[in-house]
Amino acid sequence: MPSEIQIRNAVDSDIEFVIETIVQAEKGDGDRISYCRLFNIDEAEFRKVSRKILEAGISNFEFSLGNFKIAESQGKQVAAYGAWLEGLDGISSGMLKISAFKSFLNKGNIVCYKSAATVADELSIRRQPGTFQFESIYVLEEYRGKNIGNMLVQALLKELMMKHPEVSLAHVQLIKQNSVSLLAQIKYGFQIIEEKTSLNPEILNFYSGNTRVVMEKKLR
Amino acid sequence: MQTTIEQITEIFAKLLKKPGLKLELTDSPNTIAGWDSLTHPELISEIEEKLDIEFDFRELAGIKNITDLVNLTDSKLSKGSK
Repeated sequence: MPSEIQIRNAVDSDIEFVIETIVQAEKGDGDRISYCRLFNIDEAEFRKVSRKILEAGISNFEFSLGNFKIAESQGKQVAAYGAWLEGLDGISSGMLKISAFKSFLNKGNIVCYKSAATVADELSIRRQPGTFQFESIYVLEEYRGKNIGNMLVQALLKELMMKHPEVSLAHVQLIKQNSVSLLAQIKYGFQIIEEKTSLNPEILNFYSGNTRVVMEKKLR
Repeated sequence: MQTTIEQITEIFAKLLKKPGLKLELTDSPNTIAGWDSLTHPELISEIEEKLDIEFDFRELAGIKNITDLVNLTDSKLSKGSK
């Protein structure tokens, strides 16, 4: 473990770095942010809306600041990763996410969403309630290869397992063609348990590949 | 005059294309086929428009079933719309 790396919970002053994490994780090996295509917004607008959602402080979905842990080196944020318990309080993260975008975007964006989401949905896989869901990892380039991602996974799991000792599975979903992320997750102990492929060429307008995988890590 | 659940039922039936749909207070996205993240924004927008109310994110984040949606709508209506 790199001795100078500290892992801590994300706080309000980390919002900008968490937004960067979400954006870079969305882009993966490519340059697409699926949300931009879904809602017909540009990256700047996506960052603005992400800030509003994160500031709202709602827990247990992809845009919850409290889900994130930050890796810090000499006071500088160098990496972040988020995770939550899916379906806590009986509400799926997918419903929370769309409620957030509905609240902070205008009607025109939501009308765009309806037709775009029909295509994007070809790669959607329902998150399993009662599992820990990992989403959005980003490590600054110069800090890669130092096991920081694994430190974040361990820190997130330690906290989640203390709060929810009954949970036995952790999942992560990603685009299979995003080989860097795929290999990283294998290194963290996740294995592919499900795949979904779309043969619709339009899917590549949203994602950097046409296959989504669910990867699983057994916790006991 | 229609009750709130009747008005919401009418909207769900129309947008989910399920004529004759009968919503129960215990219904949720788990029990109503088609009530999912694809249709949710449209359902909520239609309720807001028809009843002249507006939900914020914090309120929407608390809706897990029809009971929550009816209660939230009633509380908005009792406050005199937007």
